[in-house]
Amino acid sequence: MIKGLLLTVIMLINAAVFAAEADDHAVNLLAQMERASEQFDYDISYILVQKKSIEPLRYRHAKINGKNVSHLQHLSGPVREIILRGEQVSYFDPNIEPVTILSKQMVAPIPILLSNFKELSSYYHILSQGRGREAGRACDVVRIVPKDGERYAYLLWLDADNHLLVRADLLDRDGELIEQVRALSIELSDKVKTELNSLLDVNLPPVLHSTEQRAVNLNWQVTSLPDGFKLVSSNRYRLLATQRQVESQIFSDGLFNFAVYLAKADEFSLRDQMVRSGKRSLFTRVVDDLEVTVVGDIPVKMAKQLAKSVHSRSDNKPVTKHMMLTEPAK
Amino acid sequence: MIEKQLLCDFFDGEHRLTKKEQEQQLSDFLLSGESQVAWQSFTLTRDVLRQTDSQECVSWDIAQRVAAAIENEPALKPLELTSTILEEQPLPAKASKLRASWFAPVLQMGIAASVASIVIVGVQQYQGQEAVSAPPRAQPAVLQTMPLSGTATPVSFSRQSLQNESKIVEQERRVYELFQDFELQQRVNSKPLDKSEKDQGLVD
Repeated sequence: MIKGLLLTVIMLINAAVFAAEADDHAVNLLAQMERASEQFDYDISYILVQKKSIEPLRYRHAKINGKNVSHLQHLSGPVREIILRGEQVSYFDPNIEPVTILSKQMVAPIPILLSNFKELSSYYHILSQGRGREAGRACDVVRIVPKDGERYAYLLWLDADNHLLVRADLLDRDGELIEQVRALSIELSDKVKTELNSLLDVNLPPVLHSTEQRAVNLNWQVTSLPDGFKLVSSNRYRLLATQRQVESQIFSDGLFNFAVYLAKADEFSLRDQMVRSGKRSLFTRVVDDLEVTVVGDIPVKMAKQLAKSVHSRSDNKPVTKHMMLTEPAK
Repeated sequence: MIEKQLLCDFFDGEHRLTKKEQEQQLSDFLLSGESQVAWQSFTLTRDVLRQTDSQECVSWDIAQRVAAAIENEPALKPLELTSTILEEQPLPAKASKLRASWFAPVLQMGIAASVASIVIVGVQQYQGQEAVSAPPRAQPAVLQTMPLSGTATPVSFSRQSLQNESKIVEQERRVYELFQDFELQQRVNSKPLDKSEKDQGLVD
């Protein structure tokens, strides 16, 4: 009996020590992945697996004259492309005007670049999960699990040789698969440089200059913000399609983002409705004459909690009709 | 007088008559009122003389008085009874006139409404319970823009069912628009240039 207890205690201590060691190792692996994905010239074919669809993707990257140039293509269906050229990212989507945004990183279905691992590790356990084999290559497996258990988790397979991302599984708290990205072939070659070189001369769509106003003072806030989510932007603008006036706040924890929208409620406003599409959740509710909507790559439960914690900044009371939207200065 | 003599003889058991005659005689004059009174007084006298139970004597009178009381009681007339009942229960034809013509449909509607409300309340409660008890993983994750979960509003009871599809289309459009705007916001806010200094978490 005592022997058994001792054994379990020793095993627990061992596990704790091992976990602590693995943590550093795992963070190191992620850092290596980030460095590798920026430095090497490579051509990877991925498939994006969702609940009801499988989409083939091609991702190419090259370092040309010290500039990162990368190109992500959806290979089937209407043209969907993302081109990164140094500090300009151009997005081509069906039914939307193509835009160029001044940024160093593309927002893609592939978690290509993860940074700020130090910061990330205060809200996520970053654990090494041993080795695996994907796309015919030996891989290191890293797990990124939220400490609060309320967010999604990532399971990453990184090439043991070149540290590039080979597979990424997005899981919910029950460990069920939400989305998966898997490489089918990985090719490192200088050929990519010449291929992508042509992209440098291509005329890209005009730069979107809506980025100047990113910190409009809004008189409401989200009070029950989960640990680690920071305000990235607060803004007031009109939506493109319906020209509805909205106020929005965008939050990010370094891995996942979500947005909170406030608009005037009307007859079309949905009351306490949730919509889920893959990893993306939407929850919308009506408080007096305001429509509060939360959209993001977060579980629906979290979106619901967030939508219910929108408070007025002045008196910290739940938003009411007294908290009318102020018309923007024209 | 002869009768009284005979009665006296009977009373004392001194008569000389055959059994048949005896019976005949007795029944004859015992039935006559006069001899009955005489017989009564005789027995009373005898009882008083012999000092036997005098209470019994009184009872003779009581029986007669009760009979008299019953005789004097005003009898209920059957005709009166039937007439009052008829007044309170009107004939079917009259009854239908009494109930207004609008009453039947109102009653039917009332029953229908109460049944409907019970169904609605029941469905709502059932769904509410289900929503509470259902595990979070039960949410379907399909590519749909219409609400998949949440509490359903009773279709039969709301005005929504009457409204045309344009409302649903508009709602879908808005949901799609917000999804798109979120995507755009993510793109705009991902590593913008003014935050160029990178905090690399390299652990070498």
